Amino acid sequence: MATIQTHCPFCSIACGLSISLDLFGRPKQVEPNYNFTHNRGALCPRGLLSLEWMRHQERLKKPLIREKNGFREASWSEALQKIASVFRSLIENYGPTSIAFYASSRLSNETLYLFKKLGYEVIKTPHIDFNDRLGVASARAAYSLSLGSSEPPNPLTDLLATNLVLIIGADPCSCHPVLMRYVFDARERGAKIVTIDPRKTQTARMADLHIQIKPGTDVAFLNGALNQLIISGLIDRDFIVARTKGFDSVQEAVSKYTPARVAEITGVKEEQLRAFARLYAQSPTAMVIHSRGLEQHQKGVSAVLACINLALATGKVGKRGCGFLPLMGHVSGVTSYPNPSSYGLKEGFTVYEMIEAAYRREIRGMYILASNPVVSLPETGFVVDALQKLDLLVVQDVFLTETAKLAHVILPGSTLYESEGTINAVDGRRVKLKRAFNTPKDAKEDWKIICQLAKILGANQGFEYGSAEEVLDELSSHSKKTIMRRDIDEQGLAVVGDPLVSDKIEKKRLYGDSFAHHDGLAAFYMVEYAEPAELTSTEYPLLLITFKTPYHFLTSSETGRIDFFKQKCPKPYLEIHPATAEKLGISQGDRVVVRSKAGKVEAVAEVTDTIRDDCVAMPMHWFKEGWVNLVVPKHFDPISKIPNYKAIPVCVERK
Amino acid sequence: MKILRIDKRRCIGCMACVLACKQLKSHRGLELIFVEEVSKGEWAPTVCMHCQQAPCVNVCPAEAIIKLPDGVVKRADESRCIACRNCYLICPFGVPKIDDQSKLMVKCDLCPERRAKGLLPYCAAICPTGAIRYEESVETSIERKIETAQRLLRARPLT
Repeated sequence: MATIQTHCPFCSIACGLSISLDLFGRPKQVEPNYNFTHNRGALCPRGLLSLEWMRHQERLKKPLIREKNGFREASWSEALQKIASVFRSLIENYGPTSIAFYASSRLSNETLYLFKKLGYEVIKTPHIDFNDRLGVASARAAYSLSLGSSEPPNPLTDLLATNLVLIIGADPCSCHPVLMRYVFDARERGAKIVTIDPRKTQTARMADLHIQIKPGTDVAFLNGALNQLIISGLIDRDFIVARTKGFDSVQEAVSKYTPARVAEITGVKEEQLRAFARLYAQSPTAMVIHSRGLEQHQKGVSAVLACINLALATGKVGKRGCGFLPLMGHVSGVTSYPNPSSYGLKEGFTVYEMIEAAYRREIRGMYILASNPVVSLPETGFVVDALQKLDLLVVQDVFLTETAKLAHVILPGSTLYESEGTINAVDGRRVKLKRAFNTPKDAKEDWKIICQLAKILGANQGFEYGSAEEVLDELSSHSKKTIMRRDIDEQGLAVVGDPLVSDKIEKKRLYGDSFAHHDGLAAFYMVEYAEPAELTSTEYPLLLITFKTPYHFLTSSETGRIDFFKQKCPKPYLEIHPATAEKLGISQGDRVVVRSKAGKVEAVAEVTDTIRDDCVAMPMHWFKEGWVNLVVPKHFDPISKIPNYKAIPVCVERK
Repeated sequence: MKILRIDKRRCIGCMACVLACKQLKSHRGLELIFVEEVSKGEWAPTVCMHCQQAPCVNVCPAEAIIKLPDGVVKRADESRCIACRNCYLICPFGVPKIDDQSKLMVKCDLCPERRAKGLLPYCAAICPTGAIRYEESVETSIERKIETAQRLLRARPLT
């Protein structure tokens, strides 16, 4: 009986696991890998049950082409020929910029590279974007601006050497369970855990200090904390002079954030702000973990910058146990290079700009790889309308997702257990994926489909690869150039995790001696709290937060097909504080309607005191009922273009 | 002897242990570790304590349950068990289970197949947060003392 060692396809810890196969090469069971340093034998239910969705009967097995009365099965050559002929006629009539590409970044480095090569080199469109835009875009932009590179600066093991773990807008208990082993180990060694989150999440319960902040006001809180440190003389002046620039403007800006003003904006008591500042200053080392709660705001980049300012001012960067761990939601291939300029193209659209262009009929053909924007993007109705206007929508995925249902041609792709390649973990470490078993029936490995499509579209050379390793070699040759330049592009998605860190080598800590800017200094950016475009009003008095449950993953196209998760968390719900619920006459289990300026959605009320009384919260995973993005309006961060999913004025009423 | 120690301050209720236990071949799809949500966000995993004076051993009329020399309370011998539920009724932790299919009592044996290969019991290996530990009971008691002492020393009001 053979076993194949590969990595979990879910969260960004990229736990090592082994898949045992029977005599016919069919997978039997997933077991943890005891030697991979990130998990050392630990595994959460998602990894443990991952075979269930990969072997699910609803997997797409053949290419499908849409006819008037539904989809019909087609051969590969027919499906690819159809795509090629429509793309060719679009290029001829409207130019290559009428075609846009969008992919999930939860694909191997090799697949993403070929996807970009197909777009930039063969089609010659600059419009390629990835679902990073909805995830780590703010963090990457802020890290590039301030530290000079968007690479995750610290190895995971730095968590074990720290005195303070500061978790802002993240719930690793739900989203990265294995990371909590590091956090708890740190606590056992004497570290304190502080969380800043509007919801009392499982992580917040386990913290020493939980600051239940009003959503979208992190900038004010972090600036206020920095102000307290400056006033008390607890900042590291030597570090600021020697290693950074631009502190004076920040000092002046944060002086306006007095505890009273911060309390008014954030809803956090003055004493809590002071306690936090004291704790932060007294800890010789501190690690900051942050995630979507901090980043998915209209001021997402500012919030991350405020967080970096705090660390820079106290010199808590680039040392053992000091630094940052920006969490990626899932394992991710490198998306930032090669960039359009390497192919002599201008910057293209971000994903929502593509959707808007499709609505204006500027973009007429789209190729969506393993992503489900209909469920994940804000203002669902608009997204669906836009996608329906396309002349050709190609979706390559493993299930008939909500997006695939709108497609003209569907190509059956592969999962990460079925393809070769490499992918990057949370600290930027590259891990190798091995093919454990074959795709069902006629489905193919994603990167091979892209190569085939490129050839049919007329690429004479450059898409002949014997193995995924050859693709990686070619990608690496691009990376060196980009890494050396280390500059940020206009989209704020410049240099990401260096895919040259191999799985054999421990990830190195960055910024011990100098930062990645040309002058080696880190830059302070003055950030101010700004009120969001939409404020709560008498009509829409509550703020809606979207979140991930411990049981589902992203748009739940995978976990929604696993029985255990379906049983544990079958229905979308709306978390509401008992006081708010009483005021609105809502009791546990009532059906409620949530309305915003963008639309309305129904859910079941879950009355709980784990949420602030001026907020309500809804999980992001469902479609059909409880499709939360129906109420999320189109508001974006100006730099990272990340949508605001976390503070939406809504009203709630009983149905 | 080595037993499973639960660190409740680490349990996040993810159910990885329960699912892993279920997947073990010799368990025939039954979970022999249990995780209950006592109150919102407070989880209580329950495992067999392999008691020194095990009530299940004492009350078994068929002498099907035995305590092995290494201290492990072994599940009922299949040829002897009469599925009378006596063990299930007396266990203060509610650990023994009656398998409806085979009409036999089943409980945790601390994964003898895995331990023979030098691996940890599956739940202790798989727990993402390290809430389940397989260790000497003496170690546990010393560590408990140190832990509590540390907690008291560090205890300072935060707000």
